[in-house]
Amino acid sequence: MKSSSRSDYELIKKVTLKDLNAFEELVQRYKRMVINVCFRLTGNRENAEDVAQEVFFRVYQKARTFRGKSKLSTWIYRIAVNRSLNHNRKQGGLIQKRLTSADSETLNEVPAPHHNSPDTIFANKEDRQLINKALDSLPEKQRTAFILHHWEGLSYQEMAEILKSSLSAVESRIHRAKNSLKKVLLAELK
Amino acid sequence: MKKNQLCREVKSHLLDIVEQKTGNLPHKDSLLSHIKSCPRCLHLVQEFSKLWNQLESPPKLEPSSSFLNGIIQKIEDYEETKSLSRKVLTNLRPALKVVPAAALFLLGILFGSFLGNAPSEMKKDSSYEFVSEYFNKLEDIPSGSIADAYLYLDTGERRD
Repeated sequence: MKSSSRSDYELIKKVTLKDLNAFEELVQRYKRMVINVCFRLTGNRENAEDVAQEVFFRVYQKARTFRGKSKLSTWIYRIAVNRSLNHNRKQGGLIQKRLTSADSETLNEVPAPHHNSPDTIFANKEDRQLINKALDSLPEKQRTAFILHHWEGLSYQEMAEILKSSLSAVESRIHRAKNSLKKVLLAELK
Repeated sequence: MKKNQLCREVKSHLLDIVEQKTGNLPHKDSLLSHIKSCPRCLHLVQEFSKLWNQLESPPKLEPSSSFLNGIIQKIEDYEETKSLSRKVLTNLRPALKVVPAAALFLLGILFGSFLGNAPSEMKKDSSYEFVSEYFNKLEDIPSGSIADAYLYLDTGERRD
């Protein structure tokens, strides 16, 4: 993915000078990261691409404000998280229409390697719905923290920068999120 | 430890068991051997583990082929609007220079109109009331009287 020799800092400096080639390189570098975090946070694949495009547009507009104190990816993550959460609020909460295995064929969703037999697909679809239900039951802050840590693989430090919270607050949100998820999933298993 | 108690322990430490973080668990060995021997607990651990593993594997989405073009289009529209508004501002700049003068002029008109209304204010003034009372009293002077003759000499007019 990072085949270009230009560093993130060089790229963003070029973007501030309205260099569209540099901007395109930046989009190519981060598009998967951005579209997936938008997809996971909005829970809606139809709007994920629109939100992700808004994120990059914002990056172009605000490139001048990037001071280089944090990593460029952290800065982009912050914009993506804020845009996705704003989108959810505008929509009046999380969109209930969630991804299913059937949807994945139509919208470039990459299926997991174990999606093979129809039985497995059906079981996974049911499980996925259960998981989405459990995730949707979490308060926004806990849900965001869980997704960023477990799905995006971000460290507590990065999350604290993105969410503008303390390390202990981030840790506590993840801990509470996991306990809440456990309760909901256990209730569903009974 | 009794069987029921072990079942409860399994439930309460389910996350640690599934995430294989059992190192610090009390009665770790008895818990793990209980799971193997209790079909209910084994089923629970297996089912929960299946769900939890799914929860750990995130859904993925690939951007469409038009993704980049969509952003570039937005940027071009934005730059166009920006340059248009800059153009309008440049054209308006000479006109905008007149604005302070026009404001001053309007202020002058407002001030003038305020001053023009001053006589109506003066009506409330006591000196004005005194003068008008004086002239009203002249009206009361009976014709043919010495005062009337004096007034006649003064104004050159004969009052009826």
